[in-house]
Amino acid sequence: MDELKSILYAEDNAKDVELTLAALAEINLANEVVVVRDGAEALDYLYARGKFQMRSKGDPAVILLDLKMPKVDGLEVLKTVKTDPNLKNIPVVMLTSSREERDVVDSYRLGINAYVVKPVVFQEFIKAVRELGSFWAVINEPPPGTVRKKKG
Amino acid sequence: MNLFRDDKWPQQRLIGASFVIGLAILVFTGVTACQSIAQLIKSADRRAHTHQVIITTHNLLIDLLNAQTGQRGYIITGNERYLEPFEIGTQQVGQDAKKLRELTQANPRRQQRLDRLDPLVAAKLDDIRAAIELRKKQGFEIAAQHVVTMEGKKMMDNIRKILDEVESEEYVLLEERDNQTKATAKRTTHIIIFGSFLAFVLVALASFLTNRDIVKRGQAEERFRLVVEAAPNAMVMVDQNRKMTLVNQQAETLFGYHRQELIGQEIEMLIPERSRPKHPAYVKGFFQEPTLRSMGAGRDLFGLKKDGTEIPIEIGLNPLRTPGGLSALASIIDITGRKKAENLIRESNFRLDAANQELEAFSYSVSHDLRAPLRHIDGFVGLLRKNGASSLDDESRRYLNTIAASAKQMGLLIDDLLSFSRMGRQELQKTKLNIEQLVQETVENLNEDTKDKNVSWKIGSFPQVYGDPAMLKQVFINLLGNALKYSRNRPVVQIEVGCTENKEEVVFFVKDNGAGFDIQYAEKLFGVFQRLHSHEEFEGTGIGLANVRRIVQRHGGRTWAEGVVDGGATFYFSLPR
Repeated sequence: MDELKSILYAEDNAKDVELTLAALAEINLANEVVVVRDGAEALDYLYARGKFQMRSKGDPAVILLDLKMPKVDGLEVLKTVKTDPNLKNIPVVMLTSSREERDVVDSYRLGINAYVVKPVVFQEFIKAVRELGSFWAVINEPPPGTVRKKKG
Repeated sequence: MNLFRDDKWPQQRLIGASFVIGLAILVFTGVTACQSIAQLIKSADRRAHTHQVIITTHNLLIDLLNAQTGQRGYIITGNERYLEPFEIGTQQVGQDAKKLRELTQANPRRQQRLDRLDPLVAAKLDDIRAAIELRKKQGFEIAAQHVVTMEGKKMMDNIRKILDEVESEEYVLLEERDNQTKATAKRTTHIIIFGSFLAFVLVALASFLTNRDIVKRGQAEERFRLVVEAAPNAMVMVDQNRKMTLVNQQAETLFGYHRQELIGQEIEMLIPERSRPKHPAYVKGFFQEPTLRSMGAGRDLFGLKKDGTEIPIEIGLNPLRTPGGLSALASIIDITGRKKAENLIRESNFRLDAANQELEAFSYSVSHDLRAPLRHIDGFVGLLRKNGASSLDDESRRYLNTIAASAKQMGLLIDDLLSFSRMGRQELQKTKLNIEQLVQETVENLNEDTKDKNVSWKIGSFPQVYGDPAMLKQVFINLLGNALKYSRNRPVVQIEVGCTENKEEVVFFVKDNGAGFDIQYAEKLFGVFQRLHSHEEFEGTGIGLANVRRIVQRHGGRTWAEGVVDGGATFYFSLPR
């Protein structure tokens, strides 16, 4: 029985969600995305608690994080994930509009796997997402424990 | 004006020399006088000796005469009592002769004379005795006859002659000696007079010089006192026992004491109690290594006024060698004013830092939050274009493109504004710069975008300058980028980068053969968001040159430009050496 691979996407801004999903749709990854609206929900999902108690087991193939979110922000989620032995293998990609050096430094210090700045120009964004998806979902060998959906 | 070292060296030597020479003269005079006295004594002895000789010769004669007299008496009277003087006389003569010999022992010539004398004396005595015997045995007549024959008298005369010789010789010798002594005495007198005079002169000179020295010293001290008194700072002089020996008017005013209250007291009186325990050790340390220095480097120093208030002070210490030993002259400045100013500056800096931090946070916000809506605009326009591809007419599509382009432009503006702001706030990190390398790298970067273009780069050589490498690279990126951008309508793009130098600065220039500009508007070029061309002609936000100007200004340089419409432009900036 193959588990559904998922992309966990944490983003508080609905418009950004819509645009990202649209971009992901371009590369047929939209169905795999689990969207949460803040860091707390992201953690709830990862620990399969709260409203995600009933979710199917298995870790997401990759976590897409925005930096600025209410309650628990991107860096905090990142920190939690990377310090938890059970979660730290999951690749985390910061997907944010901030190019501030401080943010990049902090993210990498906490163990981010990739830092992508969302370009203003949508076409560019689509290109970036495509390449992201291509890398993480196709080329990259996921950490053990992540089951791949059989290509069909 | 050295108050304590006023030509003292040769002066002291002079005084010392005077005294030494004077003493030497006195010693010499004394020795000479002693010698003279010794000689006088010897002379007196000699006199006595001479008299002794003379007396002895007289005695000899007298005794001889006595003997003779006795003989005569006996001859005349036949009384044996007259033989007494004869016997005694004879004995005495012997003794006298012996004494004479003793007295003139040293003189061989005299001894010779005495050698002649002795037999004569002996003969005389024999003669006298003979006459006596004659009387005794043969009576008066025969004896008288003996006497009448002048033999006896002749003998006596001979004896007298010799004795006279002895005597006169003695007188001669005496006179010689006396003359010698007189001469010596005279010389000695001269020496004493002259020597004393000279000594007197030297002593007078020495004491005059010493006196002058004392007066000068007194004057120097007086001048010192006046200078200290008139000093604009509070001055306090402290001896090695940490007692204050001198304070000036300013010190009285600063600390609120009369100087009588301070002189003789310990310096710790003028510092707060909490500083007193450690202070004696500092003073000791200073006297061990007395050098001119400022006290308490790195520490905040406080003085204690009479009314108990404390004032922040700065102290300079100067070691002084006074006749009494080593002293420390402290110059004290009230830095209350300066401290206030320092505090103001510190506060001001705090506010600046706070303002900068606010600005930092603001920029962060801008960079993150302003971009989001732009993204959305562009994103949904894109979606709209995709969705409504079929139902949109050309005009509508054009509207959508305009919206998208505007959003993009705004994004660029935000980026540029942020970078411009950052350039203003960042720390300037000055190091030695390799301008050639910077220019090369920039050219290579730009060549990436102009691979198809025919660009001729002419790059000169550059001297050593100092600056922030990242910022100056940005300057070249902007200037060279502009040169490229505004030249792209030329078939052959020619860009030259070089510099000229003078004593104070290095002037860099970037020259292109592009669109140029109207020199009338040259000043606007460097304004924020100012452009001399429309967006249709050349894209851009108008912040590049403003950035260049800002960076160059922060390095202490200037920016300016020359251009001709459609005739190329040259942009200059200077960096100070």
